[in-house]
Amino acid sequence: MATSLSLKSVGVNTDRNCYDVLVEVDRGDGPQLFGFMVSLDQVDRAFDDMELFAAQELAEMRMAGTLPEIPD
Amino acid sequence: MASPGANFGDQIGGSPLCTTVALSGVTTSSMTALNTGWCARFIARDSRDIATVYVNWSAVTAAGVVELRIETIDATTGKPTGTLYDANATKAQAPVAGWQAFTFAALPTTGLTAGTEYGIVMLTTTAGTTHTLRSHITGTSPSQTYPSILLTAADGTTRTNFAEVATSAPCCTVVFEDGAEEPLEFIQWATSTTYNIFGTNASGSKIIVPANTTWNVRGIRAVLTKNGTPAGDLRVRIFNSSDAAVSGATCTVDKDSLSTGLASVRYTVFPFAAPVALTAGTYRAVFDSASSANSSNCWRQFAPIGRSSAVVDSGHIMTSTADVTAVPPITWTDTATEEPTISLLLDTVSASGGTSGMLYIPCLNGT
Repeated sequence: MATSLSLKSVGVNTDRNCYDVLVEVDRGDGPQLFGFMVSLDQVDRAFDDMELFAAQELAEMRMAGTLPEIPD
Repeated sequence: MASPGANFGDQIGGSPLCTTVALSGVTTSSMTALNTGWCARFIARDSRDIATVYVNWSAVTAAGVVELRIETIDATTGKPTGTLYDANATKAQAPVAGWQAFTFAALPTTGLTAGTEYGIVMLTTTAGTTHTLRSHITGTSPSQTYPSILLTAADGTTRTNFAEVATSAPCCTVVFEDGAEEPLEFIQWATSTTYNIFGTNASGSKIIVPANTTWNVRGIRAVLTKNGTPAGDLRVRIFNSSDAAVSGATCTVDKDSLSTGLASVRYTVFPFAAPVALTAGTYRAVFDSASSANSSNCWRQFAPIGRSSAVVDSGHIMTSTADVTAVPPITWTDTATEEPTISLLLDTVSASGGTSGMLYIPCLNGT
């Protein structure tokens, strides 16, 4: 079974000007949850498939106008 | 500046793993569900047995039970075998938020074999409502250290389910039978302290140059970000043990050159006009921004917090002050459990006489 990924939650991290995300990963033996920080520009510099997936999801949310803004 | 010195490009200071913690934080992993598996591998350097393993939980509610074991590693699969290296090397308990010691009820006596690989395995044996582990970091290639790279499994009771988490390094430390706590090749920092740089508030790194050595430093490299809209430029200086600024050891970067890049946490380089000689002694490399108004509009540093001061480089710890303009002596707060993400950029290193040693990272890119 191929690895499946789904975005479970997104929160604003004002301390680091980024987003806290929770991603569910299933590599075939059941779901696992990982939480990490992602910036919008991480789509260009993601270190692994989880980060790339999360950054792409954030970009789509931004396009749809559903991504919360990071306050100045 | 003259031609680059023999050590041009080398750095002394924050490790790449520590820097990754400051840049990206520690990734959490849920171990709430029954049978969730986590495995941090290491290669034993000597025969000492392990007495305790520390792990860090970010959130625990209605705790179940997690078992921690030290197992042998299958030479064919690189995965844990399910076999304890010593019958005593297992401990089951309810997770508790923060750093938590898993101390074996009886000290293992088998002895590790130097050069042999082992796995610190955790399995959830009773599900809880929330078991969120500060599990690992991910990042650039220096952030992963084979074979320590993390393995996880949704069902760890079948050891072949364990699979690598790409570019990761697990978060934990180990206490050996002699009481020495060591991070091995793991990360010993689970969270970070945020330092705001504005007005007279300054922060940086307390640095000890060992006896009989001279570091010729050509600049500073640091991990920084901005908060709000800082009004002031960002300056770094090196102070000596009398709190006098070392001549030539200063660089100011215009705020407008940083405002875009430092919207998120990034490396920043502060070159000096010419290399500055730091002879043996205690120094502080300190950032300030006098014209930045307040903690809502300022520059920021992050200092990863070690499990204990025993696992933090004592020659390179976090320092800060509320008044960097004070007539010396400046009142510094030195924090031995925090490692600043600041590196000295070297030009050359010289040494003479004595028996002191020093550590630096030769030609390391990406720190």
